Amino acid sequence: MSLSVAPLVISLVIADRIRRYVKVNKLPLWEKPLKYILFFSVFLFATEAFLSANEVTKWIWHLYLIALIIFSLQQKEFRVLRMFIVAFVPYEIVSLFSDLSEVISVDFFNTNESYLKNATSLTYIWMAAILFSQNRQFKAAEKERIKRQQEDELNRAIAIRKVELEVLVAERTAELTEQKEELEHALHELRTTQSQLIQSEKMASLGELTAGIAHEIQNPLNFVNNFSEVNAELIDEMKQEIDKGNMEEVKAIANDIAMNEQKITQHGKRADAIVKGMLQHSRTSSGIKEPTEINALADEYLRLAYHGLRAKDKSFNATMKTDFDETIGMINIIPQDIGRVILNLITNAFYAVTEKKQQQPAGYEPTVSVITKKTGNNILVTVKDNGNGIPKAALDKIFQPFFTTKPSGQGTGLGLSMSYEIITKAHGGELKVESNEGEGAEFTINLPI
Amino acid sequence: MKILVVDDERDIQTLFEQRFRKEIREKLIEFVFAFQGKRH
Repeated sequence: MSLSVAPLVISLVIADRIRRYVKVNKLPLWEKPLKYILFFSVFLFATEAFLSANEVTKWIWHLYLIALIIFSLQQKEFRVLRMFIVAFVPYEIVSLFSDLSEVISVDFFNTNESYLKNATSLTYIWMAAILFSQNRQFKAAEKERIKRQQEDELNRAIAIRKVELEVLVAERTAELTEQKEELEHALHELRTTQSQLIQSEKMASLGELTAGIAHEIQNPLNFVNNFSEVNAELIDEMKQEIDKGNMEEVKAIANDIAMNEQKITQHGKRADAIVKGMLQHSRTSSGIKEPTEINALADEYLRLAYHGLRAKDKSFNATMKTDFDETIGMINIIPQDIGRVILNLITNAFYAVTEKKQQQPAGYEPTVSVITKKTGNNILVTVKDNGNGIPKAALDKIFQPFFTTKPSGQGTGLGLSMSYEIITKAHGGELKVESNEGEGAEFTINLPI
Repeated sequence: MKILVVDDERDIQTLFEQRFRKEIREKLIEFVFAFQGKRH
């Protein structure tokens, strides 16, 4: 009699394979049944060895193995292991057939014993071949699994890093957004300040004008008042002459009244024009070009600037020279804007000569000239003074916004930069400066017709 | 009496001549006008 070593090994191999599979795929429910299988196999083998009951245990082994094989094949969770389990099926069939034939027909068993032995050997080869290939597949699968695991770990690490990076990006984005908002806010404030400054520059030049305007408006108003008083007297006188019947005298007086009436209208209109000009100056530029007499405009602003300064400083005096080219006629410009430029240039010129006068009172005659000239397709308006001139270092900067040589608080530094913008951008012209230090400065507006 | 009136407003002459026409007629006052520094 012999011990059932092969069934024991087969049951142990199947149990071990399933155990490994269960471990890898994390199926803890199977751990207990596997222990029972292991225990039962060892117990059966031990019983067989001790009791030498080979004839009985042989059949228990068959039942046990068949049950184990069928049960394993039926479990859906072990589908992958089917090929592995199938490896033992031929052995069990041949072994069962051999044992059965031994019991049923000893003759048949004896005559075919060699065939049965060969068949058993074949089943061993089959088993070995399948186990070998299964082992290879298993190893490959294991490698694949490890690789996948590593990949998973890598992916997880990447995912963690990604989350970290996203947090960083979000922080950075928030920072940038905040900075952007700050910058936008600053820009907005800057724009507001700029427009306020431009407005204050306009107001400042309006202030310069106010005194001049008051003086300018006083004269026509005086004429209006005086001429109307005279007319009232003349009418009384005329009545007396009518009573006397002196018709010649009546006619003469009537002519005088008519003439005075004309003067009243004329000076009323003059005051009206001055007020309108003042309003125009403070008003935002219409930006519309209209036919304008540049000579009249220049003359008006020269007078306004002069009387403005005179009103502020009684000791101020300067010779004003004008040389107007009468052939110019009307040209298309934005009158408020060009008026502002001319006023700015003239005010600067008066400021320069006043400064020089204060430094060397004797023998110096402050002079400001305004010259207009038509040359080909251009109109030149030149404002010239014999003041201290502009230092070479400052000459490049005078058209820059906020550049000023005046003491702080006295100039906005926007006058010339605004003038430059008006001439170059709005009128497509040029604003040029020439200056010899100590001898004066000459600004020339060049307007294309 | 002779009075020199200096002003750059030319209408000042018309105004003065009318305002003081009685005085001028009666030769009480005589006006001379100047519109700028140099006499023209």
